[in-house]
Amino acid sequence: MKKPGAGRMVQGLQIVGAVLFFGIPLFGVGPYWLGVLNQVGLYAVLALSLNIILGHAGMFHMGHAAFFAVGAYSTAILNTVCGWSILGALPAAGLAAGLFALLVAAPIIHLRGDYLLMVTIGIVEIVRIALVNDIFGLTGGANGIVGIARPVIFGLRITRPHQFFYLIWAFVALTMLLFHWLENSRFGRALNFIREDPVAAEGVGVNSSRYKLMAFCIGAVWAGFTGALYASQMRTISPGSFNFWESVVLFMIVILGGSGNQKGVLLGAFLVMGLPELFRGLLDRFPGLQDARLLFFGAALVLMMIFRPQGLLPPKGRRYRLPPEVAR
Amino acid sequence: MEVFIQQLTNGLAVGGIYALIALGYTMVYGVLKLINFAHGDLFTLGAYLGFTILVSFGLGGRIGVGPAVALGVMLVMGLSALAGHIMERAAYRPLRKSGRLSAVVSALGVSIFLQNAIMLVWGAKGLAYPADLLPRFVIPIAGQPVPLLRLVVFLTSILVMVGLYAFINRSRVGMAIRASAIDQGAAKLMGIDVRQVIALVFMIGPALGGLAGLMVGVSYGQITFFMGQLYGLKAFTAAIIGGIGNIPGAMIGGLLLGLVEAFGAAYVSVAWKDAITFFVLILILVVRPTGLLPERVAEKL
Amino acid sequence: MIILSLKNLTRSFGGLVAVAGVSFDVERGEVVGLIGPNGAGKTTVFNLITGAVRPDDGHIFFNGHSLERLKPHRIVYLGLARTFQTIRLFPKLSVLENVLAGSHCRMKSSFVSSLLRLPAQRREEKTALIEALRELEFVGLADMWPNEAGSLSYGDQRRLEIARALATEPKLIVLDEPAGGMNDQETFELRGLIARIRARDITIILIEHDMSFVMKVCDRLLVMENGALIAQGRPEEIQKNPKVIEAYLGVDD
Repeated sequence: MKKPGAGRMVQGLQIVGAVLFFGIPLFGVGPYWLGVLNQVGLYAVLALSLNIILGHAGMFHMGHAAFFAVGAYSTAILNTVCGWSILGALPAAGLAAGLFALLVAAPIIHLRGDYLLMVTIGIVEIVRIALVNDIFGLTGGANGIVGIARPVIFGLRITRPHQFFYLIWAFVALTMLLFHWLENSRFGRALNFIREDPVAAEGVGVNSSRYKLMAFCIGAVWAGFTGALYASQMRTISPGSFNFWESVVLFMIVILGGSGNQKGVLLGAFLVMGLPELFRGLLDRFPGLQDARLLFFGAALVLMMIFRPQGLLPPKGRRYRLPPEVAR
Repeated sequence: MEVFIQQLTNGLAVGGIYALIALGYTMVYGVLKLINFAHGDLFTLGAYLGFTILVSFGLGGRIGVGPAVALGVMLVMGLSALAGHIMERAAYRPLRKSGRLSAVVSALGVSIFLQNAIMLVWGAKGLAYPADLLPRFVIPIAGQPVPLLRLVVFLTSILVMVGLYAFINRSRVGMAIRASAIDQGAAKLMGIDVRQVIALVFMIGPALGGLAGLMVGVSYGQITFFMGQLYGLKAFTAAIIGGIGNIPGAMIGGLLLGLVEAFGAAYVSVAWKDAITFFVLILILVVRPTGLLPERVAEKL
Repeated sequence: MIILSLKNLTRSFGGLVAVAGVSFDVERGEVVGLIGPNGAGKTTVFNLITGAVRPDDGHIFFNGHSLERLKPHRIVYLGLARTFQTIRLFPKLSVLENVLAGSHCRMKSSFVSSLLRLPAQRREEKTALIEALRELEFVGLADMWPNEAGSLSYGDQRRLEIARALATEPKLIVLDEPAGGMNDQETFELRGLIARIRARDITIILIEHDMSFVMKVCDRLLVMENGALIAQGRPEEIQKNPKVIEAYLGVDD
């Protein structure tokens, strides 16, 4: 047994860590590394939303980049064509991605694990090809859309990396809070019942297809929001940023970090998106090894899975505090 | 008519290649329930090994074209099988008892590793098999000139697949593979060494994948270190369309996909070619959630 | 009052007719035992009633509703709960959460109120916890609430499944071999549990192979053989029924 104080200490350290983290831009960290952290933050939100689908509901979804793309392109089109502000377009981007998810997931939601995985990969590819082919004449083809506006919050135009840092990481924090609540509700439990045993879940009154579809939609809505942030940060988006590979990266973040565990997923985002950047700096001293960066990454993935098959931080299960009248 | 004959033969050749790769996916999946994401990269490896043996060593110039191709095919298949075996030992066997998702991520890791290893060894720019590696015969079919190579590729695929089918269904080893696919526990009780079966499956599949890579190199010329990604995705799609774990299914799925792609590119739109592939996948799975051929246990593998 | 009524229910798998034209009624408040040799089609009848399997033909009426086209979760919602022959708990989740799985269909918090943790959601969550613990208390597992369900003994797992089914607030509960794998002491306690479930005005249908258990617990027995109902009546009648004796012991041709 751990000492009762240990849990509180870990919690305290986490809070201190979070506070220090939000102070990073004040410590004179350069724009390059802030850019890396912003990238990590965006992928963290994407992975957290994928975690609802893959980690909690247990659906093998390898097409999350499709929803990300729908969000980013909706924002870009609403902004550049219709003149909407970024913050105005953000809810619409989430809604568009959610509706898209509803449309494409409804017919495939009953597919078993690997079939679903393949179909979701197919959806990503179809979306990417549709974007390349300038569907509806709105997506700008292979060149994408340029000249997307910056977000303006309370009159402040967000342009610099450290401003985006606060915007993106505030969104990460908000996402974590809301998803924490969601995961610890009847909704989150229902997803877990379906993951553990869909037949038993149905047999005790859980509407499995409805909850699976809802998981898909909420994940997609959040990916859509993230797409809006991404579009306004990059100002230029093109189909290449939303391919199958991006979906694979998100999938790896979730499994590597610990599917079903928010902190694990966050850690996964840092490792998968941040570590290769650290390596880049390290390997610069050995020019021959620079190209071998991804080689090591691949090998590391295999080793991690061999030694931590449940991910770095496996989920711990919900904690319940019994109401005092029944506490025992 | 001209377009039709050209696309028909083209589709069958490409479909044969998809089917060959699909066999590797389907066999591994049948026995282990694992999507071997690195399989497409073993196919790439086959293409590069073939280049080194046939082009860099100029084997054809030393021992004549016929023997060189025969030797090249054997070497490529053998080396690919070896690579598959090493991969199984290093990256999959230690994970046999872990969840399926960790095996998927391990497979993705191997895929990244292989792609980058190939890039480091052979360069990032891609290579081209010379056009005059083999004599380019053209034969007339329904009045249309069709490259003989296309037919050779198609027939080779069919031959290999029929051979594999017979091997799986007629030989004792094949029976062991089928038994392991149906129920590993029961197979073990019957005295089958499931570990060896798995090892064998991880050599047969890559050997066929390597052969497919060689054929792509010889017939299309251009090879890149990342080409296995798209070919692999398509081949796995083919395996799923046919009903994964099912060998005839992989053949049918592969050929169907090749034809859909060829005709789709010709009659619908080249730009949407790959999208059509996946659209067909989704359509088929929506109607038949486990693929065209049923996943009947007795007929698995 | 008749709470459940099966009319000419038929289902075959491949060429095998598992259930062939079975009809019977269950009165509210009864404890009915469904017995018969292995492979007689008992579990298939349960699967048909609970919606896990669709009938080829025939009708099922429950409390004024027609069930044969409903999905399992709808049937649970209407007040018909089940346990599984091969225990199907969520072994990696806690004992408490397993019971909360049953509470799920009686909870109303929407997705949005869960996402925002609105006060109504928190109140409901608290009530659900209390109710779930009450059900655990009812089956005698309250002290186990934080444990992993998979770590429980076989008998306890069966009782947990019952608690999970009770949490759905059923009017009728179908128990598939509730005493399976239990020792004598546990089986004895199970009899008490069934009496207490009945006292809650819940109708019970159960499949069981333990004949002395069935004879003591049930008001009425239904006997199946080869997919058909061959006899029904009070336990002491069934014991003497020649058809039933034949079905169980077999006859020499």
